[in-house]
Amino acid sequence: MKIKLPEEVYASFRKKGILTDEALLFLKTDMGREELYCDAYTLVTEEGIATLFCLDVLKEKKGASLFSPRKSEAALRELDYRFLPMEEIDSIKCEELLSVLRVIVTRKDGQQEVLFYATAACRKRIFSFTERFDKWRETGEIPEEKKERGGVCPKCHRPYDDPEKKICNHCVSKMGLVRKLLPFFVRYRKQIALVFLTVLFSSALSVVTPYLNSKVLYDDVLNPGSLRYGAITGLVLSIAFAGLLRAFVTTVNGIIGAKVSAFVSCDLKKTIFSSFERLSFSFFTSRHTGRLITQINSDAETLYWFFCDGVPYFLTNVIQMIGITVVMFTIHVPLTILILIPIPLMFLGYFLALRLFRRLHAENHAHRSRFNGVLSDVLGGMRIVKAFSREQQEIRRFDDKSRRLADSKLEIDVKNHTIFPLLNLGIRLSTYLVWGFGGYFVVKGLADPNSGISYGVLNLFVSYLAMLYTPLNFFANFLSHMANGMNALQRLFSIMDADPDVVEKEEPVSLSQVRGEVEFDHVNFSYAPGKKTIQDVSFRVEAGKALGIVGHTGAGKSTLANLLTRLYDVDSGSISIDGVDLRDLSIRTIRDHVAIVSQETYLFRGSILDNIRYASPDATVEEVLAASKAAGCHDFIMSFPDGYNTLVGSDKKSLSGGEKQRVSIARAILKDPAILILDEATAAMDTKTERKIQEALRVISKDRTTITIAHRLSTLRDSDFLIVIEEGKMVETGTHEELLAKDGVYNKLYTLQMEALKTIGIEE
Amino acid sequence: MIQGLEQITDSFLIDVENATFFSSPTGLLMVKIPAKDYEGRAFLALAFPFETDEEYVCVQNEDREELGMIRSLSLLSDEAASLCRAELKKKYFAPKILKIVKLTERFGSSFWDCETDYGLKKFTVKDPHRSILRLGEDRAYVVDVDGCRYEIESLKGMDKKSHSKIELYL
Repeated sequence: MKIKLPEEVYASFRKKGILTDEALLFLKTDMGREELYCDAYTLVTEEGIATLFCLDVLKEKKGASLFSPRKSEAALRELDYRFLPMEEIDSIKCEELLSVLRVIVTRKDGQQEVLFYATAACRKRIFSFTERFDKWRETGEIPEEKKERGGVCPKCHRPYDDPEKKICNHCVSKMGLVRKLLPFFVRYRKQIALVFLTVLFSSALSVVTPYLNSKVLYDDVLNPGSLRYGAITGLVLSIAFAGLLRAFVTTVNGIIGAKVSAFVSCDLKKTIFSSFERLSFSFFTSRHTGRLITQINSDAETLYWFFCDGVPYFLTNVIQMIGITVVMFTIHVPLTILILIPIPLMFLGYFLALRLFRRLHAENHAHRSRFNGVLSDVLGGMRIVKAFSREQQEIRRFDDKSRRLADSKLEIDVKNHTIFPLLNLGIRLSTYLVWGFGGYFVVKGLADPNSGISYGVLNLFVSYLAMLYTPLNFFANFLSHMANGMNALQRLFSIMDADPDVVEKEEPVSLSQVRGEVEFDHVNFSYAPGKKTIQDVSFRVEAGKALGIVGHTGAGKSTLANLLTRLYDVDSGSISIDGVDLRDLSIRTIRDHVAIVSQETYLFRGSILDNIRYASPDATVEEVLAASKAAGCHDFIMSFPDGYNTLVGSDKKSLSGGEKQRVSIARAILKDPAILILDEATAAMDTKTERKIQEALRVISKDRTTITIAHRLSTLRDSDFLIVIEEGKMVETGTHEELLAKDGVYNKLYTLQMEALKTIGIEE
Repeated sequence: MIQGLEQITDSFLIDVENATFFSSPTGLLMVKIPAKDYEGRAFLALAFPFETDEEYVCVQNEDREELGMIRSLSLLSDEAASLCRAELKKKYFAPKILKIVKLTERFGSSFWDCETDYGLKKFTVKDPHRSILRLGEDRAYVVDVDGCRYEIESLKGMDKKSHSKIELYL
């Protein structure tokens, strides 16, 4: 095994007689034999386990951490070394504490000792190491190292904050994000070019208009000495025309800009939704659906606002400012400088003020959340509050949160009424200053026109001053708007860039016909490292046969169903359908020929008919009716005034758990799959209804493989054979009669259930 | 104790009289409880870790089944108490943040460079508003993306610069 090690570590191991090239397994962790940070290098060879503990002297000196890039390899100090001969080792295991883990070696004499500690950052690596070690001891072969999800960013050496998405938020480039967004805009390049043209034109008109109604008006039209003296109609018409033109251009700009932003936002949402379809089931189980919905909506809205309002307004004002500055400099340099000097100060003032307000608003938001939390707690639990006479305590709790919220709001209002008037005063003072100095130059100009300015110019400068100062507030906040826009972009792209767990093979096998033979061969699976959910499960179901899976809650029964539908991939072993490994089959084949009805049923918004036809949109009405009758839902559907057209989903007609399950069964029956999985599909029904549905299922399941998972053992009595799962292991297998005769787990479960049913007066 | 409750609860209170804590030759915490006919590894868990680290300590066997409860470490011998304290320190390992050198936020994640009692640490915290656990008015835990915890013993006791960096999330 080739291992990359720092030179000193390599040399140190060599000095101790450990040849790193002969290492079978390697692990790098971050703590010593006590809970102290250091680098620990563990090597497994045929002879034993060697662990070298080192301290990075550079890190120690500079105070940098484990994640810091190594400046020099010649900076390691050896702290400790431990070698355990292989013949003394019985097993190794990892014990999880809270923030740290410890790897324990059990010797052949039963004595246990700590090999090393490590932080939770090394968790996955350690569990992979111990699993591979066990496998090697068991089989003599070293399994391939699983590709580690998560890990650390190769650039800054910090851990990825989301293992699903290998994107380092610390290093991701903002320009890179914008570049990624560009393709979404490219298809609208003509419209965008038009937006830029209109922005340019509208900015030019904004600069020209004050020139007309100040300089031209006072210095030419109202000046008896000027050639254009008295041409008031022409001027007013010109101003009105400029105004109209500007309004037209702005409207065109607004409409095109809004269209482009709306289309881009819509395209983005569509691309993200397509990414959802591509991603594996585990992506959704690790995230809150509500948060994902809010995230997509609000992020797309943020981007819409940023590109539709923010960017055009920013560009218009920047071009306008440049135009105004150029015009002012060409007219009168000293007065222009006087106007420009306060701008950085005012900008800084707004910048600081807005930063303060962002903090205050964030605090206010946190107080509001706590306040709402108490409100929702008390209103939701009013029955309990009253039952335990806790009204006074709840009033006090509410009062406390309410007062804190009021205080934070008060702070915002007081600062709002202090800081912004002060900033406005600053603007006014600047205006007075311009009036003062400008007046001086006007008086000077009256005496000598070459050294001063006219009244029209002064008026023009005052108008320009307002135009320069007004957007400062927006500019100061633009950075924050941009940050929000970039955050939204990053979040959206991170979904698009996420790697799916379950990946379809290139050129997968597609089967148009499936017989329904299922085989699990030494299947192992875990949702999280170190906690095996399924352990070495093997069984075979012949095509058309019925298998029942029994076990306690949390035994791993539903996981078997999840694996067979390839919502997850097995860690080791294999699952095959008709002799073809699931990983070689196309996802389409699996989805087309395997149907699952689970305990958690979901009905989409729409009619009951739409829901039954969900997987088979081409099914005829007769087929729908037949499937519904078989699933036992026809009668209750017909009792609704709108029959099969009854609308269901979120705020529409609500069906009971049992009714939903029956609709789901009808949906699965209609799909006519070769393999039907019923995962506690009749759990929410009464025994009589369940029996009726089972009868129907028995008839329709005649030529299809049926896998039934149930708590209620009577549900499984007619299965061709049963398997009993306990803590992820298959502990018993056989027919109902064979298992009853065994006096094992199944027998105990069955006897317990029968007794429980007898006590409530039900005889099975 | 509520009348009748002790009859249905199986609580075994551990003290100096009925249990002996000792260290294995390799330094692992062991316990001998004759009443439970148990001698082996001892795993400890605090019932109220945010409130007290000396009281209501649950003692478990290797399968994490409860052997009994230590109401207070003071009820054990000095030696046993110090062994238990050392084990609890390992279990609830959380370096204390002494100073926040740098705290930056990018794309919803915050990047912390802190001086702790175990040296300088850099870590990443996702969604800092949710990852900082306030324990009362003055104490807090910061939980990083890997689930490692860092303790802020006193928010008020922090230097002004560090406090201003963190106050937005509190």
